[in-house]
Order: sequence, then structure tokens, then C-alpha cells
Amino acid sequence: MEASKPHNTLPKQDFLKVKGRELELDRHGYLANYEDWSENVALAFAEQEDLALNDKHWEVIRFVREFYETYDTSPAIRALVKAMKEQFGPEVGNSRYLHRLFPDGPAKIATKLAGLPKPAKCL
Amino acid sequence: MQRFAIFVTKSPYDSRNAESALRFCEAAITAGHRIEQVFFYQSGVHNSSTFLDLNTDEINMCKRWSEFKLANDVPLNLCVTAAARRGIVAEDQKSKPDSNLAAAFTPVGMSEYFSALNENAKNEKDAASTIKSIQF
Amino acid sequence: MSAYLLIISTHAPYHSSFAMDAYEAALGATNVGLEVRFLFQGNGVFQLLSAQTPAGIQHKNMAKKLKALPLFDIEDIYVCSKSVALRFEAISGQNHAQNYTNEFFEKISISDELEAQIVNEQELNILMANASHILRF
Repeated sequence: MEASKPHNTLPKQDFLKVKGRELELDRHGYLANYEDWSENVALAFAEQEDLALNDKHWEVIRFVREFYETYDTSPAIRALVKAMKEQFGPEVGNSRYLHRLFPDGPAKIATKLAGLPKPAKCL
Repeated sequence: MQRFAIFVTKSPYDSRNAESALRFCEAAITAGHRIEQVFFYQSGVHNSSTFLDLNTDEINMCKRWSEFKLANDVPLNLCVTAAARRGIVAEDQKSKPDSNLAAAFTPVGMSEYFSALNENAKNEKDAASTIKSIQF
Repeated sequence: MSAYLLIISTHAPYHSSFAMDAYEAALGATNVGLEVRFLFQGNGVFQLLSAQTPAGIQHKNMAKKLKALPLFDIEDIYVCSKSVALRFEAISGQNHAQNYTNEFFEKISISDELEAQIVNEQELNILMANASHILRF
């Protein structure tokens, strides 16, 4: 008998280890469940990204979590900049400031550290 | 000569929508007009699937669009997010080694469609260069 | 008269992806600096109701999402008054359309944060006639 081809399976599940707990990740490496988030999750992701978090990072991380709770949307960069400008003024609400904090893309990385889904690619 | 941008939103087979879009494109070109691009959104992304499997006496839209592109060199763009959500994937993503996206189609962001229309908006006075967007 | 793309959103949230597809198309269009105006028509007006609790079916709240439109520079938002009146007549079984329109708008909690203009048929025709492009979802 021919060896049968294995059935298609769902992609392998990845986990993030945080304080002895294994938290589910999505296929982009983002936290699968928003409720699993804690500051330790942000720290674990920051380590992956080689980022040393300071108060300015934390301000952005908390802000994107609030954004998500208000708008049910993971903020893309334009919306993030505009919303931060409204709350903190133009010093903080500008894309250069945010890029200095998160060189690999503020919306992409801040949402990851904040435990949100990855923002839609085309927005 | 009129310039057109075509926006396709329905999957093949379920509806005649995409067939109408293609026939419109062919008729427009025959009549001397220009199709700037065809953009696939919503269920329209299914038009790009190489997994479409139809009998030879039925219409395979993926094949038809691919032939259309070859003959007329019209870009066939599809919204990458709409495609991913419906299981249409390009193979360059390492978590998805197989691709069912036909080579004639290019996965792009939404803005690809709108930047053409926007360029158009700036030249509104010049009627000949105006692009008409048609949704199918 | 400036050139604009009119997005017409005609589906209720949650039953299908149409409401989200309209929303995301609108956001995508603003990305390239195209002026976008957004119209709720037909069952699309149900997206504006404040009493949406889609967490139970694991969906995102459309009313919350719509509040983000101004953050994407979509400031011109319109609601078809006839669509609202017809739906509230049907639901309430009464025929004082105007009263129910008012009652409906009282239920739109996002109206303070999201300024929507209520348009009649004639205004709607003008809005569509002046649009450079229209996409309908």
C-alpha cells in the first residue's frame, strides 16, 4: 500500500513563556489573547525585539492599549500619531518621535508589546 | 479614449459579477479605451485562486483573467488583507510555503487602487486623463 | 468643489463582512490623501446604534470602530434620514417617521464624538452627483 500523504494540519502553535506560563501567540508572533497581557508580556516581547523599555515606551504601550479599548481597532501608524497628538501634543504625537522609540515601526512594535493584534497591513 | 479602473467584489461561479467585469474590460479595450487596473476586493479575491477547478465547458475565471493580463498587460491587483482572510496566499510568507495565488495577480495594499484615483482627482480639469472607477 | 470618494455603507454590522469592508476601504483610501466621505444608507444605519454588544459572538464593536474615522481624516459622515425612518417605522409599527428618527438618533451614543449629518433624498442626490467616485458596500 502506498504511504498516504499526511492530512493538512493547522499551522503549529507558538507560545511566549512568561513567568512559567505559556501564552498562545498568533502566526505573526503577536499575543493571541488580549486578556493574557501583563507588563511582563511587554518585557518579554521587548527582549525579543532588543528594546530596553523606558517611561516613554511605557507611555506609548499604555496608550495603544487604551486606543484598542476605545476603538476596537489595533492602531495603524497614522491613527496612532493623530490620537497621540490630540492627547499629548505635537512633541509626542509625531511619527519621528515614535520611530525613535520603536525603530522597527511604532505601530507594528508598540501593538505587539501591548498584546494587541497586528494592525492590518494596508491601513 | 476613456480610462477605467475596475473594482471586482464578488467571487467567481457564485455570481456572474467577475465575468461581466472581464467582458466589460475586453469590450472597452476593443473600443479603444484603456483599463488602468483591475482590483479585487472582498470575495473578488477568489478570482485569483489556482485551486479553481472547472470542467472545460465551464468558465475558469482565474485562467480567463490570466489570459487577459497576458494579452493586454493590465495590472491585476488584489487586496492582500482581503486575500489572506479568505485563504488566498502568496508563497513568500514563510509560514505559508504553498501558494494558490496565480502569478498574473499582485497582492497589494488597498491604497494601490486609490492612489490611481487620487492622481486622477488632481487632474480633474483635464477630462481626457480622468479615470472612471467602476465597481462590479 | 473638491474631489472626493464617497463610500456608501449599506449593510448591518456582524451578519456579513460588508460593514467592515466598507470601513477598511475608506481607511485605505485616506492613506493616499484622497478625500473620503462616508454615507450610511439602508441597513447600514444599524451600524450607528450604541447598544451593540458583539463580544458574545466574538466580534469587534462596529460603533466603537466608527469613532476612529476622524483619526483617519474622515470628517464628512452622512446618514440617510429615509433609511432611518423606514426602519424605525417597521420596528415600532408606528408611522410617525420623524419622531422615530429622533428617537433613533438619541440612541446613537457616538453622535457626540462622531458628527454625522442627516441628509434627505435631495441632499443625498447632490452628495452622489458631486462625488468623483463611489464605492458601495
